[in-house]
Amino acid sequence: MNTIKSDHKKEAIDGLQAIEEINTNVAASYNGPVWFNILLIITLSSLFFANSMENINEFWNDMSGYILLFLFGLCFIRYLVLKKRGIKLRVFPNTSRGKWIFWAVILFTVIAMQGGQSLVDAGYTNASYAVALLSAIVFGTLQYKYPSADFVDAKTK
Amino acid sequence: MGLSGFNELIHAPNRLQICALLVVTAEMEFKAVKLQLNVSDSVLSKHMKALVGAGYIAQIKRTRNGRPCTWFSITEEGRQQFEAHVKALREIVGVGP
Repeated sequence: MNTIKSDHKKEAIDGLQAIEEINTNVAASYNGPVWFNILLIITLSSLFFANSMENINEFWNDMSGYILLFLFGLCFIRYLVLKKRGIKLRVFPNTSRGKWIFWAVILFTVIAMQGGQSLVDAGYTNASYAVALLSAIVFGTLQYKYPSADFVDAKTK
Repeated sequence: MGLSGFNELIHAPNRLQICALLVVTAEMEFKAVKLQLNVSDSVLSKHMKALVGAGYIAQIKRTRNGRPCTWFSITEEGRQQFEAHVKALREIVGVGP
């Protein structure tokens, strides 16, 4: 009985490892959430550069168009190159958990940017760096914990 | 194994990896899946046929530069079965849902 149980356990571990191999070696490398990267770059760059301009709105008015165009251009090229190789990326998550995390991250991005603006307005310019750092930690942790776009987390430990 | 969600059809290592690949992408071409799994055409065809037959994977025929090519995507049923199977595996291993 114990042998049967241990056989099942070994089979299950093998199965999870097979999925994890895909998630870490394959999926994460070409399907790191595109939107994660976009939001991370937008949040961090706006918070950091806003200090030198003393106003986040000024930053957005002056540079946002070019930066967004550049970022979306990069993502689009990446999408096309992979499609040519036979891999069509899913840009947005389509599981319920993925969608919840997606909207939570959007909300966090807005709050972080508003918080950063408030701190700059109040004269705490250095504190907006702390907000940017916090954003980086949150985004980085989520991306590390959920490497694939749909957050299929099959880690065995 | 008696665990709800455990799926014998998906559990075969190659099929498990095919589902894991398709669950994180919108679509994948036959050649790309073959490259990732490092298996022969015939082996992959056999597994795909089983998964398509069960309704877990959808097959889309297209042409590229006049040549026919086959793309695959996971169906909603396939996604649910895969997620339930992963959950069952985690329960067996004892790492929780």
